[in-house]
Amino acid sequence: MSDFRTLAYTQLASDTASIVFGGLDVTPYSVLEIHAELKTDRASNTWDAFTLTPSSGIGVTSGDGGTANTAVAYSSGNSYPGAIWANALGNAQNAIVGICAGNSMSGLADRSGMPARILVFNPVKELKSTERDITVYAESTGGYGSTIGESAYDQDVYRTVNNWPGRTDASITSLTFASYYSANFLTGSWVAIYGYYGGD
Amino acid sequence: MPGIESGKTWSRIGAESEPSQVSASGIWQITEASEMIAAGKWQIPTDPVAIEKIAAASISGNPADVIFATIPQTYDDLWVTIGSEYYRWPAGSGFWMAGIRPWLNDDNGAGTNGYGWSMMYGDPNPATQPFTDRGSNSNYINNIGYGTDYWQSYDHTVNPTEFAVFGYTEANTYKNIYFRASSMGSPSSWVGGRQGWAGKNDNTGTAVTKITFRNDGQYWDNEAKITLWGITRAGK
Repeated sequence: MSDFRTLAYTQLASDTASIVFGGLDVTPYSVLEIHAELKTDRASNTWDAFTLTPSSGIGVTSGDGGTANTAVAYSSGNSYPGAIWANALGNAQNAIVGICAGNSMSGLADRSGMPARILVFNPVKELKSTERDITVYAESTGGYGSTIGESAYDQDVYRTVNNWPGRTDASITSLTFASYYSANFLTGSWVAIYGYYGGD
Repeated sequence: MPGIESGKTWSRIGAESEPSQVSASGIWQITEASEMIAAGKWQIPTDPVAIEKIAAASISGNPADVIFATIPQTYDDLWVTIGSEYYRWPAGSGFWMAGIRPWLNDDNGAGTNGYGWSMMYGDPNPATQPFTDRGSNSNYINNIGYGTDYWQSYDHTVNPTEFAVFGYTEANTYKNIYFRASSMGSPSSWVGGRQGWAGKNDNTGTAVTKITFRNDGQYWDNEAKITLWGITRAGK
């Protein structure tokens, strides 16, 4: 019996502004792993960004557990070859988690989206813990290779860490994906939520 | 009549007793199920399994290629894990690292199925400097990670590598590929790791039925551990 299990999965049958997974029971899981291929109708660029909002944890700006923080590192493969870039995005509560395909990307109609792999740590409320950060670690890309590389900001290999502290916040019961630029996720985009099963 | 109550939403045939166990020893009988539900003891079903092992490579004769052929089309995504030492220098001496060069189906030599990749990596030299790379090739992905041979007293011969293909059964879409690897050629300076994305950037190909991992023109060690996994997004 495998302990890598599916909590939820959807593939869009129509364009939609956000992808919402509700009613999640994360209690048996220590870590959630999310795989996705996402594309949007953001027409002004080859890429779009997306946010991931959990049902709990991100409303804390200070105090119980500290201040939310977001950091990002991305590699540059075109304009600035050989460079790794990094930014500390501060305490944005609804920060960019990943990059996905925009409407002007080459071959968009033949793609199910740009891929992403995301880990969500500490999804469960821990009554006895003195510290519980919901931490999201994400790897994504806005394009790769010489012909479809993400050329606007050279975010070919994009990695983020979002950290939302708050030990008394409830366990995660929903996860919402949304376009950062208020576009729509296109038909064919998909998201699967897996978990590392730890028992009842 | 004794034993009969009005308003019950369920009943069973035969003697009535509260169940004493939380799970059945075998297949649930309908009477057992109804009793468990009524008693509030129905076992909550667990989430479906998402991953299964498809095959573990059997390697002998130090081949140049490790091939997973006739991949079943019953999953959504593929994942390959590579562990243990995976390079063998046939002369038994010298300083060598070997990269892994994968391709899908029979694309190598076909020259028409374009691959593109972008990665960040910290090896090989100088060991402390990060690099990036963006490239393309008609036939394969150039190098998803390095491994060492075992003749030079390296501290580590295990170089964990992973490789995934999204949507491999879809015949007319571009295929996205994920890879991540380490290089631990210590005490040499060939120490680091890499992570990147790649794609088979055409929509004329068929579904992926075969994956080849070439050892950069060198040879796989017979002890290399290479496993192909199938992922079902909605679980089974």
